[in-house]
Amino acid sequence: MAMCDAYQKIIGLGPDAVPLIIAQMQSEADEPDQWFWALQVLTGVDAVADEDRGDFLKMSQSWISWAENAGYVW
Amino acid sequence: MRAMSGSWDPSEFPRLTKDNYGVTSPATRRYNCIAWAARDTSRKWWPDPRNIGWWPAGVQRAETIEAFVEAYGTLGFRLCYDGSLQPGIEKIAIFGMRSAENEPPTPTHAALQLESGDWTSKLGDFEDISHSNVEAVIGPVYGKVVCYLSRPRPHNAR
Repeated sequence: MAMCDAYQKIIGLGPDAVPLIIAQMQSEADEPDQWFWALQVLTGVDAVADEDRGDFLKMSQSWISWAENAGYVW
Repeated sequence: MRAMSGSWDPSEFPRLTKDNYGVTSPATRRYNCIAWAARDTSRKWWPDPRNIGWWPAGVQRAETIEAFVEAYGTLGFRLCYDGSLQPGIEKIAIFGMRSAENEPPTPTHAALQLESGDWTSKLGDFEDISHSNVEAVIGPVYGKVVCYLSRPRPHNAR
């Protein structure tokens, strides 16, 4: 997925895409999609604890918390 | 075995027919095929370079057959000769595809053998199915079986 054209275009939007991705991820509720690669590339951060890797719901929650603390608004 | 059609693209699994598989649980993105074969429905297992998927600690994080064998090895699985049904033994088939003839296969999928001799697979983000033979999910997405692993079947395993 991360290598597909559409995904790469989202990354190509640059940091402005971060709140859009966070909003999308939040709207996906219990089954978030694979936005983590894009978020890592766009922010230079890995917001996920090792024990939560692979658990997309926990990973999504970690990223939403991180975005709130970083001052993003969506 | 009665087939209930799943939500995947049938062209991706041309060997699945109405007689050789059944859908056993709803589509979900919570876990993937590698986790499913390890009986873990809480997360996705994958050794991607960005540490997004979960991978057993101490196992090389590489998309190679060796790394997948090592990962299942943390659960007690060891390489074995084939996918034949053996009483008291649980088996996993690891699938792979080659990008070129002289390249090693890259892992694509894993299926778990049930006590009945049927196999169970999670098809991407789609449903879990049971299939009567391991070759039923061979095709353009998963390639073919590269190796088999086995371990003593857990007492509470189906």
